[in-house]
Amino acid sequence: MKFIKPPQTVYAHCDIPCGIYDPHNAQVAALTVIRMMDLINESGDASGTVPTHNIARYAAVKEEHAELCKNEVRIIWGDYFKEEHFQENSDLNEITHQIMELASKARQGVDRNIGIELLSAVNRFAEIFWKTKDVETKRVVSPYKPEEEIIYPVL
Amino acid sequence: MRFVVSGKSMEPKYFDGDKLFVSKILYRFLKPHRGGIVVVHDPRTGRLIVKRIESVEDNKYFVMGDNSARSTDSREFGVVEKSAIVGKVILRYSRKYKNS
Repeated sequence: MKFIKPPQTVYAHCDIPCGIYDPHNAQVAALTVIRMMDLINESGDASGTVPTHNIARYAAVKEEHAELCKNEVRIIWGDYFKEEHFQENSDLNEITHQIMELASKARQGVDRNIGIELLSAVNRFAEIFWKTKDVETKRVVSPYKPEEEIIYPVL
Repeated sequence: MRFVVSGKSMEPKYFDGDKLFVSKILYRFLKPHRGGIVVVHDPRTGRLIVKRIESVEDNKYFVMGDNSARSTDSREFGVVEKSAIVGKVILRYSRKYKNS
C-alpha cells in the first residue's frame, strides 16, 4: 500500500510546553481540605456572628482547595502521563477518577474520613508520578496541622 | 484529507496521535460556523493547526483549543481569515492511545 500517503501532521499545540509538573500542590490542597474539615468540626454548632463567619470562611477554603486538588491532578494526568505510564501503572486511571470523586465528596461534606481517603489517593498518584521519573519517595508526617502522612520525593 | 494530531490543545475531544478526516470541499459551499473544528494555517508561521471556531465576525474567525490552558490560539495570534481555513474536521478514524 505504498501509494497511500501517510496523514499530514496537524498541530494541536501550545507554544509553551513548560514541562513543569509536580503533585505537591495537589497534596497540599488535600491537606488543606482536611484541615478545614477539622476546623469546621471543632467549631461544633457554634452560633453567633463571628463563629458563623469563621465557618463560612473554612467552607470556602475547603471548596477552593478541593477544586484546586482536582485541577492539579487533571493537568498531570492529561499533560504529563503518557501511554507507557498507563501501561506500567494499571491503577493510574482508577486513582485519578477516585480523586475526582473524593474531592467532590469533600466539597459536599465535612466527613474527615473522606478527606483522609482523598489524601491517600493523591499520595498514591504522587507515588506513581515520582516513580515515572525514577525518583524515590518517602512517607513523612506533615510538620503542620493536620499532621497527616504525605509522600515526598527523595531528591 | 487525512491528518494526524500532534499535541494536546484539543483534548479531551482529540488526543495526540488521533487521526482525522478533514473535508476541504465543505467550506466551498457552507460558511464555517461557530463550534466547528477546523484545520487552519497559523497566521504567524503557516503551520497547520487544529482548533475550534469560537466566534465569527465579519468573516474573521476567532479559533481556540478546547484545552484552553494548554493552547496557543487566536488569543495570541488574533483572528484568522477564511482563506487560512483548510477544512473542517469530519471525523476521527483512529486513536493511538486507547486509554486516552
